[in-house]
Amino acid sequence: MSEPILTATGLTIGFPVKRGIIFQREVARVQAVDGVDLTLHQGETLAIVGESGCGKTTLARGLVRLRDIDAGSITFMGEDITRQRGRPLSDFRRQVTMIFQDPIASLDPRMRIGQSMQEPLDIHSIGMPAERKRKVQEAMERVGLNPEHYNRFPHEFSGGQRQRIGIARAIILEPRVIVCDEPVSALDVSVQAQIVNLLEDLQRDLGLSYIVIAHDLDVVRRLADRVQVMYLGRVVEQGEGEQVYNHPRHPYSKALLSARPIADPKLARSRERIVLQGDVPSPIKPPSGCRFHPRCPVAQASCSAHDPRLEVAADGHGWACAYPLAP
Amino acid sequence: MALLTVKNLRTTFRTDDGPVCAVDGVSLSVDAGQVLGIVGESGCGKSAMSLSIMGLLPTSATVEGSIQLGEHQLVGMPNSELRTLRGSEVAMIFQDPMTSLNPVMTIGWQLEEAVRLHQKVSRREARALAVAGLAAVAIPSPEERLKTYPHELSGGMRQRVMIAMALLNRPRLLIADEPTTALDVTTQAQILELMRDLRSEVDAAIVLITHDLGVVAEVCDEVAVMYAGRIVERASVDELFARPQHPYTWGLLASLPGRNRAGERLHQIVGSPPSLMNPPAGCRFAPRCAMAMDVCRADPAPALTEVAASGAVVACHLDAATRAREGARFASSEDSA
Repeated sequence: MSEPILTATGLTIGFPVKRGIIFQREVARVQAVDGVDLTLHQGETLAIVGESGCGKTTLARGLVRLRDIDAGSITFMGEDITRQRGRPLSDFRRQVTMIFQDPIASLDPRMRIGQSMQEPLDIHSIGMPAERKRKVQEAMERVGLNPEHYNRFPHEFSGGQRQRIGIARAIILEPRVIVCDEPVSALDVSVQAQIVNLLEDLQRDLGLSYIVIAHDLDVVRRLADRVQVMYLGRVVEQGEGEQVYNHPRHPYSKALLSARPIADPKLARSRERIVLQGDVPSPIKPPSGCRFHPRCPVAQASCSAHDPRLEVAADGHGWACAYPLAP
Repeated sequence: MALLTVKNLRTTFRTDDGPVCAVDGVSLSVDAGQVLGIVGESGCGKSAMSLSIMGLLPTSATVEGSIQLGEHQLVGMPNSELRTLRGSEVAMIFQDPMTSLNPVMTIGWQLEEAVRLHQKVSRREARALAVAGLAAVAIPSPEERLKTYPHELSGGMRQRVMIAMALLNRPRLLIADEPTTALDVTTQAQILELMRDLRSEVDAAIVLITHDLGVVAEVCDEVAVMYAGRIVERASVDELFARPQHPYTWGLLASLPGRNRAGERLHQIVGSPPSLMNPPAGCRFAPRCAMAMDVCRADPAPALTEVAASGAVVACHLDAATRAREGARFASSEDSA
């Protein structure tokens, strides 16, 4: 396998829990991301999946240093950038960019889209102003937008086109890594397919590496080379797409996979389905032992006391479960 | 006799730029105990249609045609009469339970209000009905839940409360507009399972509006596919997935990421849906259809016609043999194998 380009070790990101109206005091800290390790290799796509509240978005923001890191480290191309500031941080952000879920919320409604896309170039002082416009129009063409629409406003575009604008803005700095936070979940199915194809084309043509955060397991299956499943701030299973999807070992991964609706009525009726009971517990007070044990269909008595660690086998498939499912 | 029969429904919105016909001549019917799925992408008119049935459209909208619910004709019915039907005969579940629940009232207050608006019962009886309603949607310790506020509940719980509220007065028709779209997959599976269970218990007709073909395959009996304000195909759920007839349905099926092998490009429908302000002549899907012929681009648009020996109807100019051959490429894996 090629060189790792971005690695995180023991990444922990928390939020303060505050009480009081005038004299706010911190009464606890929620570990939204709790000791996550990940490695992204050159040219590959790593997906992070899980339900809302599992910490996947916080992790994404932490990886591009939009959130302060409580503990652990992030290394980009051999350099520790966990606490970098100023110039080195700015350089890092030029090479690791982000695509957001909601293309409407991430574009300034009063700014022409050309300007929106040009802003990263202005910030990083890349090229002369005249050259910048040309660069933006090249990027627009690359993502399938009409370069003549340079002077239009975001509301004049459909959802799919807005996501293309977001993608153009992310690639304009010629980054090495793009962190995509739910890149297609706000889009219609037919448009979703267009964006998935576009992301794949860009990866092939520009040699990009992706970290894709998503809750749609089918989109992830399609895009990702490797998958990490998160539950309450921790990685509970990781491996190649094939391993996790076809031979899940952690009961949570299996339940998550069996919960997705299948667009085939006969299969939908006949398949074995695990419907998890209850909701994801609050991360303010995570359950003792294995965090999944209160909802786990195969939990044993010892699961409430013993917290399993993520053990990764030589083939890269790893799971954090004391009683893993048969492969 | 179908419980709900919609005939030639046309819903038009007046806008500053001229009239927009969001629903253009839709006809459909649902029987009690049946789930009809309406699939389509944003802007295809599926929500405008459900709001027309509920009579919840703003005054800028005009509804023409016929909506017959049991013995009631809903088109042209005065608002005061509609109000007594809503919540009792017809109920609706919306996509986002947080915006449909009152944030400053307890769950119990809201449920009891729904009961007392339509049934002459004492406060105590209303409370008992509310508790039973919550229990029916599998909410643990329902009596304590009555005292909670919406923000104290998770998204899945809120959606259960919405379903409980919709079912309190035993409606004959339940319209669910994207009921699981805002939920996580595991919660979605819980809610879909609940809907499957309820369907056999309450004997109501359910209209399920969704963009997700997976959800359709899981709970619906019949499916209508909508595109740009019109129904382009209607069939039983098995028939639709085994022998899809309309090129738009093919496109929807083919763009599902779960059905494609890695390495193969995802099928994409080129372009985007037309503006309803100025829809194309003839078949509205023709500009995006790979198999469009000259006849497709001219008025009149193809009418819904029956497909031999399946009970399905499709609005497409392609001949039956071509549709069967092409459709087979997009059928469910099991049937095509």
